[in-house]
Amino acid sequence: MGIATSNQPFKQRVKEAESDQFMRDAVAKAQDAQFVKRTASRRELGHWNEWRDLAEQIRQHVLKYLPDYLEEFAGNVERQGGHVFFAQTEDEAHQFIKELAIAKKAKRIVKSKSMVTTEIDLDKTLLSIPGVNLLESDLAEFILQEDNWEEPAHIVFPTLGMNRDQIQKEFQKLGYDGDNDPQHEARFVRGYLRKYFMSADFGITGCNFAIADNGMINLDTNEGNADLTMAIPKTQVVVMGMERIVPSMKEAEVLDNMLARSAVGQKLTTYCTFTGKQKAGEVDGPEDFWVVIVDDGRSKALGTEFEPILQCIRCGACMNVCPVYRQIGGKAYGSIYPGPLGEVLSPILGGYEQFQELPYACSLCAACSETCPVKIPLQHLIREHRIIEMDDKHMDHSMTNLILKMVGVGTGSPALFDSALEMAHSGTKLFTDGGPNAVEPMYDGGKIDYVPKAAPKLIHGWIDTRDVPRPPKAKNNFRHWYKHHQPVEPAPIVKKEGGQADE
Amino acid sequence: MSSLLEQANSKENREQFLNRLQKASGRKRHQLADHPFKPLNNLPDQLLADLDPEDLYAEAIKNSKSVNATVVEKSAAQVADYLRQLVAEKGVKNLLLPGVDQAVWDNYGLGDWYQHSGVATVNTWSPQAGRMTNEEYANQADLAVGMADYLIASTGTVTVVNSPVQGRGFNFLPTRFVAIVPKSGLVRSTREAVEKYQHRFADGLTTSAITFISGPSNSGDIEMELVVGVHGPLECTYLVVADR
Amino acid sequence: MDNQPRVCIFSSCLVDLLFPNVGKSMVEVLERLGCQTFLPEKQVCCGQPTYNSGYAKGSMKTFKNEIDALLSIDADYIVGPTGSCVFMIKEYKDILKDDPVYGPRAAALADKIYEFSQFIYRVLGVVDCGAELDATITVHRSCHMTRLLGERTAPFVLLDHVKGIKRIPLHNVQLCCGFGGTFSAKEPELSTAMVADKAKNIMATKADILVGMETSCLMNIAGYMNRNGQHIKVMHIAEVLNHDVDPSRIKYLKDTHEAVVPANGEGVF
Repeated sequence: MGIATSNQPFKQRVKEAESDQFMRDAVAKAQDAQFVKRTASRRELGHWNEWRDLAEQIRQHVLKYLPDYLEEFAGNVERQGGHVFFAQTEDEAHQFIKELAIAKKAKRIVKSKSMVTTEIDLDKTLLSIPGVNLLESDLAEFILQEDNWEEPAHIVFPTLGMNRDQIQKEFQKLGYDGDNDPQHEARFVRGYLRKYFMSADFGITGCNFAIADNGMINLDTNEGNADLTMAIPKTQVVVMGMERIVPSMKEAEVLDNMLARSAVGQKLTTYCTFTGKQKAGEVDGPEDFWVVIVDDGRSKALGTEFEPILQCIRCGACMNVCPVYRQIGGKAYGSIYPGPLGEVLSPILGGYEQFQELPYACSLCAACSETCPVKIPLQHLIREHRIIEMDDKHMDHSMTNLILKMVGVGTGSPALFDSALEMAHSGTKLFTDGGPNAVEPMYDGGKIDYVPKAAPKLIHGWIDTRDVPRPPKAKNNFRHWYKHHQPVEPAPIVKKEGGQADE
Repeated sequence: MSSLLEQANSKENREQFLNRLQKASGRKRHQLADHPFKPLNNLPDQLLADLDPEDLYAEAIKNSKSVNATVVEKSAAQVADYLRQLVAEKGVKNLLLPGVDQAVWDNYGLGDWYQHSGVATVNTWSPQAGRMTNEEYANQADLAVGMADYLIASTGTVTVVNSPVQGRGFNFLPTRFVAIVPKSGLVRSTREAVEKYQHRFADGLTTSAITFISGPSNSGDIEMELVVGVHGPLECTYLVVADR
Repeated sequence: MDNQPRVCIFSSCLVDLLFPNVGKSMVEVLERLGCQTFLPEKQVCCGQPTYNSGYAKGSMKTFKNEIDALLSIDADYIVGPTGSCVFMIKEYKDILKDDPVYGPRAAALADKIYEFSQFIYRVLGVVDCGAELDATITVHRSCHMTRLLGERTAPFVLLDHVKGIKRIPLHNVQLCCGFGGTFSAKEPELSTAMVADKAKNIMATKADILVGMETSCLMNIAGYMNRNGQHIKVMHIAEVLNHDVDPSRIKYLKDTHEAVVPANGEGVF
């Protein structure tokens, strides 16, 4: 299914999300907690916007010379005895890893959380090999796996929306007999997975940043699972989105700092590891080191107005500030990449047909663009998607489409607008007096009125839950007032100043 | 169908992929020599640059505590006693040590501290012992006392380099991890530490892993409540030793 | 009076259609502060309803009409009562950059257009408009004004100088009210959930008056609160700065000991 997580229509998913009060409270609480932590950690760093400039520059530079950096990286991996496979599609990527697992006679595969492995549907492919066991080692991903491979709800907090009691129940199936204290639940997972880890023979990790000039990969985690995944199995496969590359450890280090502060309000993740194939004399770590570099549709953004989305370092801050995500959580987006990032990325990777509605699940408030540590103009790109959907693909055939086209004609014509100003008051006769107003509105003597439901669908969306101010009579409107008003006398001090301060 | 595995490291697989990117982006390949990355500011170099060594050290301690690391500073004369005391206090039964040269221990005044520590089992991570044995040592250890290079002030971090005598499992499998870090290893930032490693690589350092460790393993995955101690060590101590 | 700044009023379609008092207040404040105002009659709308919905081609006539109308007055500045629409007009410059005729005109327009409170504080240099309002207020911040136009502090400075005002911080002021133009009509469930949260936070301040910088946001919030019987008075910042004015209290920043507050405040985190 690729990045899609649902075949239900978007409206249906929103409806389901809105009825899940626990999830909504959890998301709101998470957003508020992250707001405090993120803001404090960025403030503490100082010069945040200049750091963002630097991070943006690094990411844009790498994208501009992407083939060169990938070539340099691949060469360095190969020189050190590693293997690199460039996978154009999701199928190529997971088939390659499947063949490798078979060739290595893998029996116990351990993974550490990686969005790109979810994207290429790796788990299901590997589990189709007879006799293969596979465990996710990231606590949240492990919980989702035990919960029947539930899809993640957030790229950094995949179990956002599940509570400790649900988790306790899942663990009871594995023999857990403790209470619902997260500390105890986590400790249970440590013991459970440790046994598995010790005999794991095939490790799969993602990649935060690949280091072009030395062929290492850089991983940021808090739990220590990625480092165990790289320590114990003799074979390691790194799956990386092709854009996750930096020139050297110096640029990785900049992004590591910004990622941790943006994702979880930490200065750095607990473990920040630069790693590669086992060296002579070393005892553990991967004797066999494979890197699968995945395109899977990313190149569709290259050279287009959407290229900046490839700057993304997957910190999830955009979903942590998004007021829409706050209401519906991650799953309603129907993509493994939810929130503002997903609204931009999903139509690129998965196509407009599948994700047509996502760019419209946004009020364009730009909170995402403001928080993005690598300065992706998210709300701008969301609007660019809308323009492609409407102007190029003509994807809306509803009444809304017609109305908005009429609005375009109306707002482009002063003559039509003049008649609208004349007619507005009498033309809104369908307004009914809803009695005294609770809200004292913004114009003298005016009223906010109730509109009955005999209105087109587009207007319906508004009037079902809100009252509307009735337009004033033409003789009371602003234009009329202006034409007849006597200019206000400038204040004495203003006259003294000569009309204007230091300009 | 020919095996996909054969395509790994093949020029054909790589060139086909990279040429497609070139075509998609509309930009020529092999431009990097003329357009190397030049950072637009030097903020990473400026981080904490205005602090004198004393304040820098105070910053390191503050930030280390904020990541739930225990920071202890001892002189070379005190450190052996401290470790013996720690072992007793924690009831350590199974200790793991790195197979470093005796000179390294001696440098910290730790010549034979563990022989009088009262610990039942003391194992040493050693290339002679083989992979499984070392990993099992580490898995069973309730304390590992290992060597770290640098203490990073801005993030409260210590750095460890994977080596034949102190492998990955050493740093991540034991229940408790003590990192001995020389006070001379105090650096301002991750940038400064990375630069030092880049120089050491240029001078011939060979390692498959460098890890920046900031406190014990943890997770906020269950209802975003911080749980300290997940897959990696449950406790993490930075033992700062004034060099001889 | 010499050197009176010539200010072209960008009224915005919502003020023209629905909120005369906002336009009137804006004009009176600006004139009191020494501006000579002009109102080009051919202006209609900035084009956000269609452009932000994805109808770029269908917005071009609207953009060009607005450019022609606003540039029909030889003014020093163009000032409007909504940061969101002002930013849209600033965006014409990028959108029309390849148009040989309208590209340069859009650039000229972008250089001299300001949101009302931004203009008073940053261009006129006024901190106190001489207004008085004996009330407890809370302020709904405008997303587009703070994040796209980049002006997050001027309205707060001006409001805090109004005599008698007590301002209660609005919890989660950074969250969008759910208006989002046609978003509110296309995604009514999402939009309603958002405005419900906003209304709840507003009610929790127990403020007498909700003040805002965008007529559209205020219309959304007020429309929802009215439907749900939540009592509050709603005012646009221009109405507040035009309330019970004593011209002798008008004060310029340079005549105070205050430092100019950067548009970005302490920076964006």
